[in-house]
Formats: sequence, structure tokens, C-alpha cells
Amino acid sequence: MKIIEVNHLSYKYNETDVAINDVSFSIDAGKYVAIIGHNGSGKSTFAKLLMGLLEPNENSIKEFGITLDKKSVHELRNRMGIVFQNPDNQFVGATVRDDLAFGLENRCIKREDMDAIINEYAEKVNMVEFLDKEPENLSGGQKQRVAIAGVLSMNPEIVIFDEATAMLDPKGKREIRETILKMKRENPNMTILSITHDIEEAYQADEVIAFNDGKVVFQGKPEEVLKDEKQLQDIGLDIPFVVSLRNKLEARGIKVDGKTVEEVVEQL
Amino acid sequence: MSSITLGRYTPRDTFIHRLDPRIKILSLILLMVAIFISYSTWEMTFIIGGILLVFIFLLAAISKTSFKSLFKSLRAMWFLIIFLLLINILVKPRNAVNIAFSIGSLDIYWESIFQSLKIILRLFLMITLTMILTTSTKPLDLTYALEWFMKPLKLIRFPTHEVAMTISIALRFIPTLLIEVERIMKAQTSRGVDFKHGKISSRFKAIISLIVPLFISSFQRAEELADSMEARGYNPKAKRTTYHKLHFAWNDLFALLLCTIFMAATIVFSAMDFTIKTPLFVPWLIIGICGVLFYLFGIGAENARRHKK
Repeated sequence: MKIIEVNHLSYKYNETDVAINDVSFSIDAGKYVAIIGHNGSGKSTFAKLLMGLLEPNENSIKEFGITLDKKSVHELRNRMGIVFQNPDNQFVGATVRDDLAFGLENRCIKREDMDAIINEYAEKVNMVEFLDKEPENLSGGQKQRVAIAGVLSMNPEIVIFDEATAMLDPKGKREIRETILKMKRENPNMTILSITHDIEEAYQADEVIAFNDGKVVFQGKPEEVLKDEKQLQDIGLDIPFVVSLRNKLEARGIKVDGKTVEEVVEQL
Repeated sequence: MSSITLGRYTPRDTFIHRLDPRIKILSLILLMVAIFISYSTWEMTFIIGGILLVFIFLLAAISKTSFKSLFKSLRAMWFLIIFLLLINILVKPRNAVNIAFSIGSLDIYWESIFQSLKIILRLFLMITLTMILTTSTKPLDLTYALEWFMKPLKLIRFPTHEVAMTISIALRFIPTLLIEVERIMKAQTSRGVDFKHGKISSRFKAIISLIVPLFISSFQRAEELADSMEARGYNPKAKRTTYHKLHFAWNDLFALLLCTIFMAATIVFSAMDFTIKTPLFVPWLIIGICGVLFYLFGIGAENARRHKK
């Protein structure tokens, strides 16, 4: 089933600044899709368009088979969630507890049910002991985990990560990646769109879509699309370390097909 | 930074911390009225002032507000105190008759000294009360209380919820922005900007190099925050449930009654023109009993809680 259909989508901030230029593609339900591209390639704009935070051109986006417009935007938003890049700027509440409650309040969840939901989702991202902490006493990774819990607590069918790990230190990055993978394991039907610079992360996805100058350059399985070094360099990206390792081994006549460095080492 | 930490919320578990924030605000207003009631004689002014001082110190003790920070706030007012003393001494009060001493041809009246002492005492009491309120109440709870008080304004379509949300977001971002200020200052210092030394004009220019980036980043933050709130389904006009519930309990009633009695007593004394010659045991008795009761109650409640643990 196609959960997101994009049809001749264009968006410009002003006459000269065209962010998205006539893009068409679709995403299947339940997939983990990585959207890659260098800075200013239009991928973040695309995320905001999907959430209805920016207004797309008419009939260009369909989510769950419903056309995104002014009337349907609230209903569609209720079925989706997004985690942004800056951990501070999406923390609304005074404490972790209040922040998780914020989304529930918006959904008109009954007061009596809130505590149970807050505890359940704080547990899922290992933040229970921090429930009464203020954001300034949390690390970036912890704040992002709160943001993820906030999104998950609303049972979304699509979750978008807009460079959610870009501002974190390596430890925070690892925490968030693990949280995303755990989330995917627990909800196999959830569609995940991860907008990322991190080519290694993209390599773990089910599908990769590459943006360049507001256009989709290619879409496909990571093994297929992430091996052409020249093509990736043309759009300002590197190929994953494993792929370059495998390419070099292949050049010396050694054939391996591991998906991670560990697997390649194992096979050698 | 120390002026910002003055009167900041300190999480403790005391009788006053547990009071409903609405009651605390109401009590603050009632006690403020009590502070600003005036009397016909100086004796009465200072007796009541003294009783209020003792009472408010008791409140500070119960709420475990640090006395050190109270006196720090007094120290921060030194300029105001000297200014008040000077003005009052130079300007002869209307009914001044008792000369305290003379410096050359300038007569200093007792009334001038009393007048300035009275103002200083009132200011100090006011500041102490406000500090007790802010150290014992979470800023967010104060916001909820304000939202509750503004409820009637909804009838004239005043956006009470939006105002409360704005205040709570502002409170939420104060520490974040302070960290940002520190970061920008460090960045600009490393580029050779000097914030601490030099002429006022050059320091002013230095401040501009702090404010401009701060403004830009604040607007960026605001935009991102708005996006994220909207993405999480926030719609100020739509119906929302509230996670925080304010609870009015019997101890709130007690506190409110006590403060009401206090205010009423001062008004009665002022209106009935009590002087030092009238048998003073009546006001003393009422106020004394109130103060002692409150204190005992505070200690009792404290002990009861400790025993439970």
C-alpha cells in the first residue's frame, strides 16, 4: 500500500529560492526510508510540506490516500509525528513530564489516563527517572529521546526524523539510532522517514531517496543506489564505509556481501 | 547572574510550598494591603509594622526561604534607601515638629527619619513576601494560577489560554537563552570584544554584538518551536484537556482565612484610630495568636510529614 504519494510537488520560498522542483514519487507503508542529500537540497522543506507546516501546491501530496489541504491537514497531522533537529527548540514543557503531557493535551486525552501514558512512553525511551527534570539538566540525546516519546505517545502511522541526530555527540547519535531501531522492531507497521546526512544510517534503511537541488535524483534499495561513488559525489555525499571497503576488496578479487563492517570482517 | 538567582524557586516540601498557588497569590495581595495601611500615630505604624515583620519572617522560616538572600535583596536596595533618607530629610514634612538634631542651619526632624524608615520597612516587607512566593512556587504553577484568575476575562474574548501559554514558554526558555547568552559572549570575547572594561560607549557597542545574534537566534528558535508545536497538534483555538489540576484543600482555606483576618485587623485598627493609649492587648492578642498558631501549625504539619516517612 502506498502511504505517501507525491505528485508534481513544487515549493518555493520566494521567486528566486526554489526549494522543491516538480518532484514525484511514492513511499510504501511500513518501510524505513532514508532521505539523503546535502545542505539546501530541499529535504527539510519536503518534511515540512509532508507535515502541512508549509503549504504545498494543490493536489500534490496524498497521505493515507487523502489529499493534503487546509481541511484535511489537522486530521492528517494527527496520524503523523516529526522529530526536528534542534533538541531545545521542540521541548515545550517545563519538565519532561509536562512536555509529554503537552501532546496528550492537544489530543484531548482525559486527565486520568495521562499519567499512565506518560509513564509507558517514558519507559520506552528509558527516560522514566528523568520525568521531573527540566530540559536544561538533560543532554541533547535525552531531549531527543523525550521528543521521540512525545511523538510515539500519539500513536502515529508515519514518523519523520528531520536530521534528529545532527546536533548530537556520538553517544547521543548512537542512543537515538538505537531508539529508532527499537521503535521500528516494536511497531513493524510504522512508516519511518529519516532525513539524514549520515550515509551510514541511510545504509541501514529499507529504501533510500536522494535529493539534489530540489529534485529526487534516485530512489531504491541502499545496496543498489549507494555503491556508485561517482553519482554520490556528484550530489555532495560519500558512499558508506562498508561499501567502499567492499569495492576495494572486490577490486582485489575478494567478493564479500556483508552489510556492516563486522559482517565483512567475519566473512574475511 | 546572582540577581537572577535571587528569589528563584527552590524545591522543598513545606506547608507553604504545598499551598495552592492561587491561594498564595491571593494571600500575597491581602498581606500587601495590610502592609500599606497607614495609621495616625507613629507608635501604631511601627507596632503593626513590627508585628507584620515578625509574621512575614515566620512565613519565610516556614517556607525555608534563605534569610541570607532576603538580606541580600536589602543590600541591593542601598541606593534607594540612601536616596529616600536624603529626600525625606531635605524636604520638611508638613506636620514636623520634633527636631532630632541640627546640622548647621538644617534641622533634621524625627518625622523625616520615621517617614523614611516606614517606607524602607514597607519595601522590605513587600520584597520579602514576593520572594517567599517565588521561592516556594514553581513559575509554571504561578502561570496556571494566573490563567485561573483571568478566567472571567474569557467573557470579553480575552485570550487567557494564549497568554498563559506564552508566559509558560517564556519561563521555559529563560535558562536556554541564558546559556545562549553565555555562549555568544564567549564567542564574541574570543573575537576580541570586551564586555567588562572600557568606556560606557564602547561597552554599549559590545552589548550590541551580543544582542543582535541573540535576537536572530531567538527568532529562529521561535519559528522552530512554533513548527514543532503545530506538528504535535497544538491549536490554541481548539479544545484541549489540561494535565495540571489545581487543588484547593483545607490547608489553603486556613491560610486564606488567616491572611484575611490579618488584613481585616489592620484595616479595623486604622479605621478605629487605635493609638498607643488604647489598651493594646486586643490587637496584640489577635495578631500574636494568629502568628503563633500559624507557626505551630507549620511545625506540626512538618513533623507529621516527617513521621509519616
